[in-house]
Amino acid sequence: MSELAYCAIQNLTKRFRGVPAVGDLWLEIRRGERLALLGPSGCGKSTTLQLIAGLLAPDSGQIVLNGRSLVGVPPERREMALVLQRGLLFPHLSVGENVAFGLKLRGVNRAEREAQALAMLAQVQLSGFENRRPAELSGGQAQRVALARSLVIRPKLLLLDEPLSALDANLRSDMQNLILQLQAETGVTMLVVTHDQSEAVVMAHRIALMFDGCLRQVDTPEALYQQPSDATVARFFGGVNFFEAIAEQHCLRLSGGNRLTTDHPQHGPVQVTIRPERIHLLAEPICGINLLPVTITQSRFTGTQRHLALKTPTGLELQAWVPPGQSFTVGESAFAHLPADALWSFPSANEPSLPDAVAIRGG
Amino acid sequence: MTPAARLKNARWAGLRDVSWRAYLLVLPALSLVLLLFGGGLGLAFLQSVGLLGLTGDGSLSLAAYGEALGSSQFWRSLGLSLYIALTTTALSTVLSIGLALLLRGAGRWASFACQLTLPIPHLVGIAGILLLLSPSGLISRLLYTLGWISTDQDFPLLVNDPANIGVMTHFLWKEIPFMTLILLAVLRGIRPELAMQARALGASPWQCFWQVTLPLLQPGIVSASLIVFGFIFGNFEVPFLLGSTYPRTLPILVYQAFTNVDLNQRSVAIALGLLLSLISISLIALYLWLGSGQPFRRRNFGGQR
Amino acid sequence: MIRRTLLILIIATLFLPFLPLLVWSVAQGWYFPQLVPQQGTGAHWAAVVAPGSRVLQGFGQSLVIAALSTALALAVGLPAGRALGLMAFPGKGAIKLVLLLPIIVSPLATLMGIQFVLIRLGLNGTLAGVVLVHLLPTIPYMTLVLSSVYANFDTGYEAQARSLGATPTQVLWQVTLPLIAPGIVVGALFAFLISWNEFLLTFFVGGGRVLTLPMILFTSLQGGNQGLTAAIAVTSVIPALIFLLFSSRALQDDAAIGGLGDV
Repeated sequence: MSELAYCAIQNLTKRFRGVPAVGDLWLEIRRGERLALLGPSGCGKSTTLQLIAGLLAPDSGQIVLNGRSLVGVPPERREMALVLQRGLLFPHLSVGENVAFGLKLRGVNRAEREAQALAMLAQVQLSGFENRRPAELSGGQAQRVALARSLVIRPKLLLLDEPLSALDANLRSDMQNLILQLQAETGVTMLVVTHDQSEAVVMAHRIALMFDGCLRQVDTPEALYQQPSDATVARFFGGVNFFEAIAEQHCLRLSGGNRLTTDHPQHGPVQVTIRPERIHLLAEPICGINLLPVTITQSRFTGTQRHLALKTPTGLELQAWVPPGQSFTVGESAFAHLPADALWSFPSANEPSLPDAVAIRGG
Repeated sequence: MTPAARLKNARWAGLRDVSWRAYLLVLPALSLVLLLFGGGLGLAFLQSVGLLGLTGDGSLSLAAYGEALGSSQFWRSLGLSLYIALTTTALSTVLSIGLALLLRGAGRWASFACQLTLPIPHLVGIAGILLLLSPSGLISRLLYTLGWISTDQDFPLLVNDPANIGVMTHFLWKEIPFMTLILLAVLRGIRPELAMQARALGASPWQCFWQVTLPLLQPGIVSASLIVFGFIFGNFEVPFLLGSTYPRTLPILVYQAFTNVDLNQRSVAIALGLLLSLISISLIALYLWLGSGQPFRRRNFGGQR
Repeated sequence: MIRRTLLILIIATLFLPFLPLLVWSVAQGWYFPQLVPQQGTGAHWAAVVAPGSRVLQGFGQSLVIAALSTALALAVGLPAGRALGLMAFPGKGAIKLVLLLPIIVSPLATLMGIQFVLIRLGLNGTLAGVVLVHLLPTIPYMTLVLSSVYANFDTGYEAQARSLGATPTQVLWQVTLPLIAPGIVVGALFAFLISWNEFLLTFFVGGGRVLTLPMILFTSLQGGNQGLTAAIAVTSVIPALIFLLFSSRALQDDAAIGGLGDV
């Protein structure tokens, strides 16, 4: 156990009528950190959030926040604040009263709590909205009020449950920016639960990836993209290129006889992956290393990129995303350059099959 | 279903996954109803078989049931009660569906106006119907003024009549708004897109009603008609004041036996009352079973658990 | 247009029985075949509102009984409605059915059984006995309406309030009850009216001593004074009407009413 952990979740387990929902979960959050709990819907991340918030009692395990164990502590005394997906502003209270709700419960006098609520509303750029009813707000405004309502009580840990998924695409990035800005201003430690990997990548310092009630990898967004722990993680982050190889330190021997060099040493039979956007396509074999002759079998323009399907003479199929300016036509021959630092591999025996994750990516 | 998919349904639960809490919450209501209704039935049964009561020697006897079932009056009353309850329930169901559909597209004022008879006590309705439909009532006077009848003797007997038209008129007047209120609420809960979708798939308005609206309305219809049937079948004051003088409905028969000066008739009254309950329970069970089979299974009513 | 005309006709028909009641309550010697009374009188209403009149006493008794049984039904109906509306537990269907029985099965046999006990407890013919028996129909209606209200209630609000620092009691008073208040009004409205209009139950256990308004109206209906009967009848309608108008908005609450369509 690291001494630095601000919030430590230890051995957290929860079953529903015998069905495990969260199994033996260990997680540490640093002070001031933004951590995203990411996973497909139904993976147990919402249950984890409820366990942390104290809305559910775990079967075993404990949560320590700022040195204080939260076993048996009811939600209202956990010094956390929760923002739910739908905002859930109390419809019988005005916007101002909603923001002041938590302060009122803490016995803060009227003048003081109203002043704080107004200041908080200003921070979420909703000055002048204090006397509106929640029904008069747009989805984005409601979500901002919900955020203000949670931040005004200065929680030790801010819990966000899919805070953006109910919003339109263009509102989403505004909201993202606002959350990041408020987090920077207040320094609040934040745990955000989401099923959207792009959202997690933008919002979090670190991402805890969860499948079927278990954490699969806890790492920075960059690492999850470039250095996934297995194929499932890679697929969840949009990985499409996978092929078998035998690794001998920095050398990867492919089944067709080709050899590739990687910066990440491995040993024995491995599965190799490379991000499609890291593959360079060259018309001529300019440099000699990690170059595979390919034929272009498919070309699709997506607006910002060109997605190409490639095939080597040995039958290896790859996908490469190249800048739209590069024009290759179907049937044309070219050379694919796979940079040594982009080639990542993991032992192939270790790959558990998880059709769920693939299905989520597809949907 | 994968464990994960099952958990997907675990909404923001807020401490509500413990079933003993649920039992604790229903306990006060359930125990009061069990005590009053079940206890009442139990005590009534003990009295009816002579194990408890003012008269009798405290030994088991089915004499009261024999007397109740043996009288031809019982069977006539049962027939009359069934006739009134079934006819009125069927009529008000059909008319309520129509009225609910009519009101769906109309303004809120109309639904509100149609619900104004809802809070009116039955006795007030009875008084109104008497003053409206009796031979010297308002309609009779209107017809006289118009010259259609020459004396109140010419006006057809509509209250305390053998066909119980007055009773049924009253029940329709009172129960149609009640059923309509329920059906309208269910109807508003049905997404209009479904009907649009049906129309887009080529259904005529009539087909749309039979194939989409009515099946979706069915649970509401079953529930509402159940409540209405049970109520009419057991009602006392309406047939007592507006109904035929002979035969009388089952509840009136019970009342007459209960208030008889001969105290031995009291156990017969209770036996009759229990038979009345038994008949309505069986009819309701039958109706639920015929209804669709679905509510029957869902409610674990009767045998199949 | 046809729909509108049809609706107006239906509504007029529904209002028709009130017409002779209103006229009779101020008419004197209105004999057949007069279409309109020749002479008006305030005598019937004077008799109704005379100090110490039986009608006024009955009005008061009805009010007390209806208020008490509504309050009691609400007290047990709120928790039961929550369990039935929000929780899944074995035996829920059976419990719902048991709660429903008193409103669909004739209460006569039950009443005769209850009366046996009430006599021994000295409660027969007392206000307390009548209130107790009035719980038979009010609890089921209240529970059904409230279970539907709760089924449409988002418990996320409670989770949200807890995380903002509210204790379970604070959540109940500051969040849950204000949010389901419209549904509670509908439930209370139903229970109040059912108790207010109840005749048979009072008739059996009131022992002729608890004279609610329906009892007085029943007696009057069997007598011959149509003017007085009409005045009493109109009186019986007044509070129900006020209550209904007062909560007319609540009656538009389809979620609550829909509860009766899903029993």
